[in-house]
Amino acid sequence: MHFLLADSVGKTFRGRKILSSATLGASISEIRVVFGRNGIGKSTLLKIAGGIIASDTGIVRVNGNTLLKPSLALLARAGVFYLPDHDLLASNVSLGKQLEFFERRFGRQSVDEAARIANVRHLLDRLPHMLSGGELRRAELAAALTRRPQCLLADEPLRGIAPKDHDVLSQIFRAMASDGCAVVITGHEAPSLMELATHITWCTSGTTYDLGAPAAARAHEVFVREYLTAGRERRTIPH
Amino acid sequence: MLAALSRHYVLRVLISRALVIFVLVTLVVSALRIDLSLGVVLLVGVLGWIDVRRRHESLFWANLGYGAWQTTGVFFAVAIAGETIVATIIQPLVESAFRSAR
Repeated sequence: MHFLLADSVGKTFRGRKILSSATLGASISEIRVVFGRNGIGKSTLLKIAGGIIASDTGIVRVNGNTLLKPSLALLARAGVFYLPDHDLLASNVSLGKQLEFFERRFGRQSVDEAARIANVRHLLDRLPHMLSGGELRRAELAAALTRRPQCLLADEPLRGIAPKDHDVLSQIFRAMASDGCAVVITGHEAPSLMELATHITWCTSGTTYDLGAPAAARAHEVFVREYLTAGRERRTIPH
Repeated sequence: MLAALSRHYVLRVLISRALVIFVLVTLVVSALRIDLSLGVVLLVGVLGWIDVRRRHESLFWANLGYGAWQTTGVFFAVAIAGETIVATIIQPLVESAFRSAR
């Protein structure tokens, strides 16, 4: 059973239909990666699942309960943590203080332990704007670790960071999943994400396809042709 | 009860910001000699809502389980409490001080 499910959701922005009937489920101990081309609606789908924006059609369920008016605050109290692609942390409060807020509010993981796992112990006194891209991503994940959520929704967490940090982040996602967290990630870093994922969802043409395990996704002819290798032919420009 | 209150201790950040906004708004309103009790409450609430959005903290508070209504509600609550204290304690004290000075 899914811990969090955005079922058959549709969304139109300024007359443009982004999603017609897309479904995203997050199950315990699973790492689901959502692939799809830019502007196809991956982030929109994640935001609908996280209660950031409302869908035009479809429903959001958490722990088997259908939410009439889902909001992130409501979902957060139920165990969901939403990691946006930027601006998660408050700008003028030190990282340590912010992690302490999550510890104090939910009491599920100590700041020390979360900071150790995310390798940000030495950054606890700093303000978020003083951190590099990779450090900031680790700091945001430290907040998620302190929350120790039952479901983590991460929007493009590997974008724009060094390969070394990819590994650190991937290890954290794996640790969270093995702790029972349902992890959902979007992104384009196919090699890293295919290695990390236990399940793949393909978002295309306003809908989603559950492709199963990465091996099954690699064997999916249309997915490989339309997403994984799309544009490779075009890149080989003759001199 | 104490444990429940302790969980919401994180709101102290918003309460202290609301106090600063309330004091500033009250000073401006009294300097302009405007009688605006309800207006002060509304102004503090709206400025608080803007402040949270300006700092890009909406998602941070939402991940802590506090939605826009709750965070804005803190500013309204502080403004109402402040206005009540001003009307019932500070204003009578100031008026009696003026009377005795005359």
